Amino acid sequence: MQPKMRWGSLIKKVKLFWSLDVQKTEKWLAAMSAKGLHFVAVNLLTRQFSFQEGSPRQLTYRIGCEGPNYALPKTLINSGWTKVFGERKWYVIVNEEPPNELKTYPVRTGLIRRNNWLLLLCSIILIYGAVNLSIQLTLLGFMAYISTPITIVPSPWWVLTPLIFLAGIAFWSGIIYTCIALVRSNRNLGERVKEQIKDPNSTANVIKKRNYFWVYSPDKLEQWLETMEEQGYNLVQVGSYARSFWFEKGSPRKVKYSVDY
Amino acid sequence: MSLDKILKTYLPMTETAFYILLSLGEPRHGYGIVKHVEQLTESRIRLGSGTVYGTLTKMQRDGIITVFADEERRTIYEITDIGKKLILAEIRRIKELYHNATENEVGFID
Repeated sequence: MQPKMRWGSLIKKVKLFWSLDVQKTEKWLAAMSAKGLHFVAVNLLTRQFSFQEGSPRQLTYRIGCEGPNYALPKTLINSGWTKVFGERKWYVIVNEEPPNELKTYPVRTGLIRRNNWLLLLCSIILIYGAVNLSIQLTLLGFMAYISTPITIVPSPWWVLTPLIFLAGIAFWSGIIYTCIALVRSNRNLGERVKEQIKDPNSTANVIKKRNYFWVYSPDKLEQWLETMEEQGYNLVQVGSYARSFWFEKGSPRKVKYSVDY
Repeated sequence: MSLDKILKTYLPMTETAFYILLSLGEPRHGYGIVKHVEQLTESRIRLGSGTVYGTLTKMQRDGIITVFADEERRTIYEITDIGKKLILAEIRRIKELYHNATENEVGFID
């Protein structure tokens, strides 16, 4: 069911890199709704967002990227999530419930998978560029070393050189920015507790511990987790690549852990 | 994926796939599915995590099941309308199999 709103005129805003950090975009959409501008659609080509003017509301948005056979779970629909936009693999859902009362969310695996593919592509381009640049710099250095005279042929086309140079700088900066943004986005998408720590209103007493080499002795990890539980540190989250472990200070428990692959 | 294609691809179902889908009468997380199947079959079938998650991923890709996350960020699996049609078709097939087996078993008993 569509949230009940008083609709007004349509307002458009462009957000070029919205898909690189969807959590940031979700917060932006919620902030727009709080100002009375409710998300209607996004043009995936022009990156233009359309908002309908209405009364200010506290809404929670979630953006997802799933395959063609994806169906919104009935549990999510029953929990108040409504699909407001869907095109190609992208969808946007919204919930009117207060954020701290939400019990269900869409999963982020499709989004993480998509980010990983994009990251792989950008990394290949970046490596190609770095290899190419190093070859050219080596050649230039070699020419300078053997003092080869450089002859510049006058041509009106030289005017294009700084423009192409600037375009190149913009392109490579874009690739580097995309890589950094995707790595950061994937890290945040997989970690719920990090959000709790960042949230100043959160009362959760959470500590983070790192354990890098447990893959070589999973039995020791099991023992370590069981010891932590005996000391009252209850495991609440395992980070990306299972290197970080978050514990919430609670009551001592006698629990058995089993690590599987 | 259309229902016809799903039925053609999945029927007859493997015992593992059948029990995984059967355990989704209500939404469950991966470990919940393993325990439920163990309970249903009185520990005859103990599903390994590779089998469960491999089957679930394939079913999710084909739109037979869908997923969401609960408060603790656990992935919960839920059967879709297409998935319900698939399991009902398989149950009908097994009922027919059972009926024919019990009707004709006399001929094989010495």
